[in-house]
Amino acid sequence: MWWQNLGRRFAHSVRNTVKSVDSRKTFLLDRYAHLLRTNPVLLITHQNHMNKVDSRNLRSAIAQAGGQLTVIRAGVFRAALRTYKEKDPASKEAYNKTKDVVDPVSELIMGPTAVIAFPEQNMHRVKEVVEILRKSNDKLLLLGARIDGTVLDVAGIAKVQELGTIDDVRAQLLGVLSTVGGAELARVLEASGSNLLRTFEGRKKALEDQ
Amino acid sequence: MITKYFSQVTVKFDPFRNSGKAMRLFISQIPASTRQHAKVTYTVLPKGSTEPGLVDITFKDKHRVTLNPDEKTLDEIIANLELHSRQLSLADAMSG
Repeated sequence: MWWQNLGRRFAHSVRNTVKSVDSRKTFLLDRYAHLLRTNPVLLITHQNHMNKVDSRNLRSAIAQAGGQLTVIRAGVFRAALRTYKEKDPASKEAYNKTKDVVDPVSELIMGPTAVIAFPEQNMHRVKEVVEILRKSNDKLLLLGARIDGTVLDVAGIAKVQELGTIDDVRAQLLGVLSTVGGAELARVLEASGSNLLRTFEGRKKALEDQ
Repeated sequence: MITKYFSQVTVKFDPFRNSGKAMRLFISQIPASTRQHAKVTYTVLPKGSTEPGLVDITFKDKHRVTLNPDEKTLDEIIANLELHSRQLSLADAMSG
């Protein structure tokens, strides 16, 4: 029959996944890997008895503030944290290659967990969502965050949420540098270079004298 | 876990500590309806904080149980609380 050779014909495009290709675990792993690749800011929360109404209200409030709430399967998410940088995160090669990788945030991915993902580093939005979580009556309990691969605890989030957008921070840094004075900064940076030059000159002179 | 006789629940935990997982499972065992008859407070401690974790439960008869989750397993904590809850439920059944 015509379909019996299909498997061999398309063998190059068949994925070699740990769980079967059409299983829910593979689907979720792909989804979480995509989530991790496209969202530099993740808030990790403990989710507590959200009923349908809570879930809908919180989801829409968070979406309005610019985040996306996802209730995750902890084991699959931990696997995604290990393999999301690989070409095919669900593949056997990715699994074998990253067996020993421990992502520091995986400590927080235990039991009933939900993550809130932000597609850009805008801390105004994080601040808004943290406020929503505070008012959520402990339905979502903020545990920590993952920003650009580093892990923050609750105290860290409280500091970071005041920073604004990444462009704001860059502008602030530039402001500080220009008020310190371009000329002075250049002099400080130059100092070690000119010292080195003087030392070499001295050495050269000494050698010539000999 | 019997939560019917709680009148106040205070839980403090650091999710990065070993006891963090146990505490998260503990608070997931306290149903949302507990809030109708008890004051429930959860506090997440920052990473590496020197403050010890806390499970502080006050029962309806003012009996108070304070436990440190860093020194006890989840089963031990629940067993400790059940001890008093069961007495109360027995007293309830006798009087009812």
